[in-house]
Amino acid sequence: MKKMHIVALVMIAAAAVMIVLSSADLSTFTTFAKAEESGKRVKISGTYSKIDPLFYEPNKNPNYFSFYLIDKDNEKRQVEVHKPKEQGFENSESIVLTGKMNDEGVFQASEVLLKCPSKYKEEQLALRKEAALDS
Amino acid sequence: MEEVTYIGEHLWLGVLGHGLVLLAFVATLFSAWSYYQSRHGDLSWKRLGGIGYIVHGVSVFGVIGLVLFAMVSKWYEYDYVFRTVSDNSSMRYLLAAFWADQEGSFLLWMFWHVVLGWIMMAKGGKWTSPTMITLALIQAWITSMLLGVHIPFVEEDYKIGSNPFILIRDVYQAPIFQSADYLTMIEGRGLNPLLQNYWMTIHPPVIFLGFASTSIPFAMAVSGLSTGNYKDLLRPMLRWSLFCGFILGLGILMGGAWAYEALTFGGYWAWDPVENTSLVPWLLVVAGIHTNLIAKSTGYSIRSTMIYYLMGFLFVVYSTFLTRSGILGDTSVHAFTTMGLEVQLVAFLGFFGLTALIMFLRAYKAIPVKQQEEKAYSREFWMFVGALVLCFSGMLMTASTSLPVYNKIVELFQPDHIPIAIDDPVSHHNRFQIWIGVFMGLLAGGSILLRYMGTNWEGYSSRFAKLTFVNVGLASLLTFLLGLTIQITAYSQYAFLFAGLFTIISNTAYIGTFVKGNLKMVGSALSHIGFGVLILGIMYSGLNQETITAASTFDRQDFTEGEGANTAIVLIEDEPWLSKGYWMNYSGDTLERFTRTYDIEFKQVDENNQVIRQFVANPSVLYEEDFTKIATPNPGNNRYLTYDVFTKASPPPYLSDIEQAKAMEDSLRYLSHLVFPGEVIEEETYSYVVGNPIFNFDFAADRKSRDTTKYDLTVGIPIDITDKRTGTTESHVVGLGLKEALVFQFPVIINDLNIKIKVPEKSFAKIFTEEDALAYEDITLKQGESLSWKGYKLTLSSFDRSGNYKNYVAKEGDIALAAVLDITSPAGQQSSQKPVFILRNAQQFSIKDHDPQSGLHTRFANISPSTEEMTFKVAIDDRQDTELELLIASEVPRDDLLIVQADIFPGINLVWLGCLMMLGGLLISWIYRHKVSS
Repeated sequence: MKKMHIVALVMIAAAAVMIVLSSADLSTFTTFAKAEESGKRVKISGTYSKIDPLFYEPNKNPNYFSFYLIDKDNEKRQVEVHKPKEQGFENSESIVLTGKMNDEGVFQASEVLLKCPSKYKEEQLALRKEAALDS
Repeated sequence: MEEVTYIGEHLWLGVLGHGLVLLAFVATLFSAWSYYQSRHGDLSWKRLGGIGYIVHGVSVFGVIGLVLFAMVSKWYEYDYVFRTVSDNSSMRYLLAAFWADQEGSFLLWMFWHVVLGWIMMAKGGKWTSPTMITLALIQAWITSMLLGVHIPFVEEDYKIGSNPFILIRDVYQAPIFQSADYLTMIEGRGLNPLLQNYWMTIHPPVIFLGFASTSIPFAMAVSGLSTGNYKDLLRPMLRWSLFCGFILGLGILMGGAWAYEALTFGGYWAWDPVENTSLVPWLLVVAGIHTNLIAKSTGYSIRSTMIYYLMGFLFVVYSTFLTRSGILGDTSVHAFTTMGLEVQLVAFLGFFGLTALIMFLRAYKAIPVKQQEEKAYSREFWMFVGALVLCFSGMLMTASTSLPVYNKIVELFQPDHIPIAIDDPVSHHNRFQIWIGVFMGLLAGGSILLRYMGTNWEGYSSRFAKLTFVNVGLASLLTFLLGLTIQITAYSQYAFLFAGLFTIISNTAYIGTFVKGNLKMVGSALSHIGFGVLILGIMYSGLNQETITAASTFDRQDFTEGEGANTAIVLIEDEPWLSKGYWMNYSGDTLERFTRTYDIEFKQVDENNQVIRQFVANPSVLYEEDFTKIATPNPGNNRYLTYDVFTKASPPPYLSDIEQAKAMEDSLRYLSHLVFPGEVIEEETYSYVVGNPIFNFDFAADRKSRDTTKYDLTVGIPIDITDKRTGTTESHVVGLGLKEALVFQFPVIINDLNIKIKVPEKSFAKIFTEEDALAYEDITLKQGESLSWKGYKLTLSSFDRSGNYKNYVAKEGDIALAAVLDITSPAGQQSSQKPVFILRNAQQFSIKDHDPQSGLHTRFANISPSTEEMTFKVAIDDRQDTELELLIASEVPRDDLLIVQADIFPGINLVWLGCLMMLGGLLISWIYRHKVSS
């Protein structure tokens, strides 16, 4: 056997080991109902519910906020995040959470990925408008 | 719908632009065809091919020019202009806006292909024709992404490509397009504020030049496969690949620097799909450079060189597919959205992938190989292994990044497939790539001291062994010592550190022992040292990173997951806070255009509270152009040689979003108080003394930078608030402003008491009596005289010639005089007024005065110089309810809060230094080989 073949075999073996090890890194995109069932770490993508309260009181605790997310099955659940709330959170088009359900049925998210509306195809045409935050 | 004749559109530009797109497409196809005809050396065909590519290039430049022109002119009838430009857009970001969206970035890519093609035509020599065939075909595929033409007999809304000159009214169905003058009603959306950044101007051109430059080694490899002449190809191919490795690497580095500076990804590298898929082609090109060097020096590894160069470009196309087809969906923060080109992108990839594969397989047997195996003590053997490790690393990254593609494919066969994704990409990639890094470090350190072909191994082996022994010993010692300064959490990190140090030491020894000023050899060693330095930087900045704003006062027991907790604190303006040895103080802010910049003073102190060092961090927030909310926070960055401090600040939601602000305001419970000036409002804990209105009060100065706009008229009502428990009194001014017939409130928030006071708009009419409602009567007085009028006693006591009068702004040539009128009301209340008489440009004016105690309004109407009699107009404001309304709310959230997070990145400069050395090595090698060849 040539030395190159040995190198190739070693690499193939390494790749196989890595693929096996990687399976532990995988999580599935799922829904609240299934996350509750499995109790595992999952990813849930959905939309922020604008009609429900968003709780963030930085003067009490800047590292905690909670909101309601509607998942792909239209189920709405409370989500808690132990991080400062990001700017533009309320305007995000969709949100991807990584985390798991706790016993009270509240989703504990450790990662929050915002998909911001960089393109607003669905929105109305922007008409000339006037508004000011500081009055 | 009936036809509308639109007003103000500039349709000629779109027609011309679309024509040029079509011309560019046809010309590049023609060029490819002509070059193909010239493959056996036919010069006239070659000339035609060149003309075709020049016409193509000029058309592409024309298209770019027209798009830019429409953007500068703000012709919103074009969708691309509408998407990227707004009324307020600064021309500083014109180029950034141009390549921010899909069509523009395709044009940028094409631009570089044109430039590279022209260079190839001028300098390519005998490789021009075979290389240009492929390059022109690549251009044809990219141009097709912009065609925007229907194909007959296929679904009606399916188009090939997306025309950058498409009209907005062809994109959206909206009632507004029934108005002929719709253009006067719309405004573009403008560039996403996140991209309004100088990086967006400089990063894309470099990265796209990098992408474009992978096409040349690809096209050359294809030429090699079709001509069978590999030997002559190795030299020009290496030159182009070195250039490509340098530029693409620089582009990636700039992307990392941008990510680091904006810090929205938490560092310079986040293993985001977009980052990964641009790194993979670079790894492949670098692998190709290594095998190319082997092939040039020894004749081994020609096949693998071809493979790596072919793959380099193909993975650029794959990256384009991943990032532009929308398939990444929920897994990437880079939000390129769909453009309907998925099928076309797959076809693009498939065309070149299959062509390359077929050509490679057909030529496989004819590619020269050496029968004798590489010796284990030869440099080429270990370099080959190193190249293989680079490729392996890239494939590993690709596999993880391609999970969305896997999901999509499985979904085709199994519609109920639940998509899978990497849980935490950063730890996933780090876990595997750290071992790749270890191997690369060891290989780069060990192989550099070996010789090609293992020449004279017998004579050299003992020296090699000695050198390696010393290097390993030194690296081990340093690993131990430096390991003490790094918060190492796993044994693999020791291996990583060792590999980095080993490659630094070994390559430095190589430069010291063998290079002796030979530029050809210094490039590779420099790059390898850079890799080692990068490893050190990764370890220091990654493992020793520290958040210094860790709050400790909150009860953390309710946290089920500790992740991400405890990273931010809240600072109150001018109330210093101590955390992790740093005093932090939010000392103020300034607003300029759409950016509010905060001053946060940091003082690092030792155990005895002695200041070790201090600096001011300036994080900022960028508002949307209509000031309705904050678009993005920009961290403040304090850079020092051995560490950086990043400070991110944002105000609480009710101060950063107008909707939240309204919601907060609505939630406050105001109590209404009716008072006359001079009266006192008594509450349980506080008492409020309300003063006389001050007209033209300068709220801009009073509220610091909070409001800088000019008002036509303002009124301030001073209020002294006394806390009955402590006896302390604070003075504030609340009021109203008038601007263009709109009344604005100037509420006041007393943060320490959580109180907010405001005057409702309707009180405006009570403070300012409308002149129409007053019935003035004339009276005349001489100085010192008194008279009685409707029960009031009026005395003209003196004149004020100072020129400093209430509500009076002096102009040149004015003659202005104020009379001092002492007034005693029927009830015996004393007051004094100063109406002003002005002679300006031979015209008479007067400024009235008024005091709420007497209720009298007076004007100084005329002066009779002959009789010294002064005429005044006097009126009684006899409205019954002249009392003011004050609204007072308690339990109001503070408006001087800032949420702050500060992180220290030690050794980050090693990351940049390492990367720059790697690129510097590539650049030196490229320049050297370029000089040698010409």
